[in-house]
Amino acid sequence: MTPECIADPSLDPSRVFTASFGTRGGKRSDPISPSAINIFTGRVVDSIHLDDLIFGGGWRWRQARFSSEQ
Amino acid sequence: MVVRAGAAIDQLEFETNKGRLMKGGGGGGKRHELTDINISRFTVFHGDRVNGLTVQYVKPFYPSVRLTTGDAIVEYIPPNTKLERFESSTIKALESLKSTITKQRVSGGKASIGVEIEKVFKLGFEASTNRTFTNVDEAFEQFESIIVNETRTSFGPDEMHNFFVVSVDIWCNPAEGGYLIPFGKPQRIRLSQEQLHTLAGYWTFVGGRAVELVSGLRSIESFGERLLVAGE
Repeated sequence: MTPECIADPSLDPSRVFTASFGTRGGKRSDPISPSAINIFTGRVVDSIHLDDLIFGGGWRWRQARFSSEQ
Repeated sequence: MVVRAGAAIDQLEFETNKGRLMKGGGGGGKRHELTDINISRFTVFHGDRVNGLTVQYVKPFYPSVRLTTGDAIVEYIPPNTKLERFESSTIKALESLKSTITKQRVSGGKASIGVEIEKVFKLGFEASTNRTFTNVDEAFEQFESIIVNETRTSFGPDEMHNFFVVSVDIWCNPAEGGYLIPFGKPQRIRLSQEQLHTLAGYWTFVGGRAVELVSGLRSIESFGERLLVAGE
């Protein structure tokens, strides 16, 4: 017996948006859906690591997982 | 998510899906805040530092829950149609995964489902191929290049209805309904017109939605076409 899955019409449907911050100087990465993300920060964000890809320079870092458990 | 930015990204703060707070950078630039979002893609503009950041996100985001497992029809082949299928089990499974994801891949009104199934596809494809991909579009492109040299086997044609079925996890999204994530190798089953009722309990897609065939199929003429166009 399969449990039912009925969408609740009172919930607003999700929508996809984009937001941009900073400037578009330098190199542009592909759009990336990372499983893990690291950021290296000082007075600014020096670099971002998305999976194994590194963007920017960087000298200090923090780490956390971005993906779900799947 | 909080971003401080001017000529560069000054500060970044966000919470991961595992509840960890990431925060770093200085106090320069202008403050921006996005609430109740789930980020699906990043694009980075960079030199010696991070100059800019574009995020694609879903709002509002409703996490899904896995209800149970089942079996789903992922493809229907009418009688008297010659079939050609890959021999490799891995390729068969990936093809089934890609086909199922494509049928349910969406934007706009079913955004939460789209983001979740694309993450599953990317991770599944990476695990099966030992490669990494920046996003699901790149994985699809790589899949097409991989299958060029794969061996294929021909079947039929015969007078039976052919269905490809695969085991699926059945997920439920509170705002957007059900969807299916396949796993394992798809199997071919051949049924006569009189045997179509045995498909009772199988799942399939109608209009991109996961639907259970509670009573099986009575008429392939009325339902088969909907199977083929599901997701469009």
